[in-house]
Amino acid sequence: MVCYLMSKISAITLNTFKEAVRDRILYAILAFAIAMIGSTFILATIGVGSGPKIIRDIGLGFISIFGTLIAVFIGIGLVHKEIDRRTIYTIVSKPIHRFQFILGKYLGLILTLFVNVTIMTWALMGLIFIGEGFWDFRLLAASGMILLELMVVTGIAVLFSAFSTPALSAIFTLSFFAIGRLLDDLRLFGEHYAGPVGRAVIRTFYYLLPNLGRFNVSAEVVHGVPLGEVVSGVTILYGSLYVVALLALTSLIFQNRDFR
Amino acid sequence: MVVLKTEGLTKEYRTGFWRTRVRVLHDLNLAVHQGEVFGYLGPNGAGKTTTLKLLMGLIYPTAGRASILGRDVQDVAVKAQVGFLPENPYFYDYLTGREFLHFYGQLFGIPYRDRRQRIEELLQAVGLSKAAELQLRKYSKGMLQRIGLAQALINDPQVIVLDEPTSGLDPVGRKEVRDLILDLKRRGKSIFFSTHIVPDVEMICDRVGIIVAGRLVRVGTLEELLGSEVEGIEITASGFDEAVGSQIAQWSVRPPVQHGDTVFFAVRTEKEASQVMEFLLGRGASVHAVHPKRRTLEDLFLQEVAKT
Amino acid sequence: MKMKKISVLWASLFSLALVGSVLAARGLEGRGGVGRIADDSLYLPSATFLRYASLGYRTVLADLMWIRATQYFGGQLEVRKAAPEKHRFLYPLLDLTVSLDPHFIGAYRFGGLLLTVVKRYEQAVAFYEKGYAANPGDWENPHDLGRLYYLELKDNEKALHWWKIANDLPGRPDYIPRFVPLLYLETGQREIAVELWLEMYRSTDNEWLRGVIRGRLEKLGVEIQ
Repeated sequence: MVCYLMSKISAITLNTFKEAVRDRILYAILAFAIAMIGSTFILATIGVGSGPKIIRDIGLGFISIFGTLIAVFIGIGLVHKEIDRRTIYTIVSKPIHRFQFILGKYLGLILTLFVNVTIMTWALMGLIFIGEGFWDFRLLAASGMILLELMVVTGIAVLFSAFSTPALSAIFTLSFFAIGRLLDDLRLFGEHYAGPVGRAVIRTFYYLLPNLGRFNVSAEVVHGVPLGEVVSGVTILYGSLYVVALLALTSLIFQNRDFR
Repeated sequence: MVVLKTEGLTKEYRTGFWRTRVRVLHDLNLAVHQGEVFGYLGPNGAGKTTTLKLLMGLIYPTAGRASILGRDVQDVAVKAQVGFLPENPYFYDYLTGREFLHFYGQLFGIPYRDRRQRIEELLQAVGLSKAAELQLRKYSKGMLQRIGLAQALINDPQVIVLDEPTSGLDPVGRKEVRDLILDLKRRGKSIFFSTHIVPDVEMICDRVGIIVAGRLVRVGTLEELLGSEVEGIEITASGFDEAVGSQIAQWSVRPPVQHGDTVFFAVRTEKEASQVMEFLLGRGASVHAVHPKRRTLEDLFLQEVAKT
Repeated sequence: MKMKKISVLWASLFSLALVGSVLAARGLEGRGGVGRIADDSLYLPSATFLRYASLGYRTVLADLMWIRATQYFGGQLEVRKAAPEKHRFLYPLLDLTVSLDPHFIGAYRFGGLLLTVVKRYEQAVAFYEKGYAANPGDWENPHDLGRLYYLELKDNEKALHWWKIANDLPGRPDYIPRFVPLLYLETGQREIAVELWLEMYRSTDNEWLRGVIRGRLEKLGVEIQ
């Protein structure tokens, strides 16, 4: 039964992946990203001895930023485009549940991101190999956590995509991204100035909004902190549950809407 | 046996700034029987596409229900037996024809080997075998319509629902679609299609429903709707002078139409027709054709539309 | 024919406007000068603002700020200025760097060195102390601070104080424990120095080291049993 469900989801997943891969913009972004990562080499030479740190910091930073851009700008159109162009008519009229469509589209984008992040990470590792003579496999752990963060951001983008226009979705998703990354700081800042009621409100929002800072382990990985302390099972669980919540909400909204 | 049925199907939208309610479909009750071709005729904006979307679960009814093959249309499983082609369809233009059909086949859960065979048959049937490796973005409108029909038939459905299947096609294309529909009927399928092109309905439909402003105003076979009464007699004649011509004009139920030497006019009854012909022949004119005119579907259609 | 004429018109306008803007830009270059460029550091944002604005990419921003600091240093070397003016933004830039990334050991080390080179000793001391406070388990900062006190500031007591701290931290270089007794000696704590040297003598197999220690002890008039 699960196989049956999954095969339909995977049909949509692979189709979404195909669409992304055949979109030339993706290659442009990827080429640009790799060029940028290559340029960190130059920055590293003027880093006066901190070259290795700089390459890794900025390289991982680029991977994160480009990944986020791909996640947001493809994600916000993922569902909306299908509704707007009415390609969705021939899909929803097939024996497929609406949530399978959402899941398929989401996983298709995640697959695309996975491939992109992997390529960029290996490019970075290759650069480091050329410069320092060894493969820094620790970077894969940092990449993994970047990917987890991207999964949450994509979930947010897809959620908005299901009921909002691309312009608004972009604004909202990027806002959630910024807030999500600053959540801990914002909480401290807010609690400092708020009264007891304010504090309760802040606490509530703190737990409801996605704490993206938890996935940001690149600094620790570069600094040499042992991986056991960097990658935590609880964090992965948090990310996964949050993604499930987002997809469930998206499915709820998607299930009940008319396709005019 | 009834394969498709709506009961009290109603749809309201909330539009505009004040979210005012607009009713686009009022209490629709219709039924399509096994093995028949049902033509759903209506002017633009009458609610045809709304009806079809409700049937396919793309939108939800405000009231009433619809069922296909005995199951409510909200049941996802019922769609395994239905084929649907929307109006002016848009497809993933980055896929090739073959990939496109494989994708839809997968959504039905058709295993690969069966899919492959079926796809080749379908491509043949719609005449797109040569274009199967082209991306859809390179397809002409006619080709898109045909590949659209192919995806509607990939699961060998019992019931086929088509929204304006001939819109935008040239006469050759329209004939091909009509032939396809008749072929499907021959194979025991039931077809429900919407259109505003009257001749298409006249040529192939067993039963017709006319929808105007969200209401089903007429439904039945062509015979039932049009009756067998003769509405008038059309006469084509030539070779007479102006005096005769003005006399004819007085008898004719509508202004005569002249093409070169020939004049077309109409009288009400057969008796009048005989009298006119005698008159013309007496004056040395030639009568080319005498044609009893029945009320056409177009007349009925225009009449119903004019009522609103 | 008319179409062609319009095209020529647009092409000419484009060329003229482009050339004109290039000339204007070059004209602007004549004004301003090096002083203006140096002063743009005046508008350094606060550390808090950058921490927020970085959206979690703090270490990346820190690296960029570090590069900025080193570039600033290099640029200032070529400028003819009076002492208080020269390199006055070096410390702020370095401070921003480590505010964004408190564990950026390389910045503390080399930044502190730069501050020492330009003789801004108080700033260097403050800088190293900051580094130690943020990274109490790393030997580099106390080591560098001790060296600064010993070599430049000639304050052997402070030097000893910091090198004792560095001595206990993991990964510290081997010359530290060898140098500590010397500092004890130079701060007048002869007995401790002798004791430490004797202990070192007993605990090592290294003939060269033993020779060195014997030499030192002999200078103090101490016999080894």
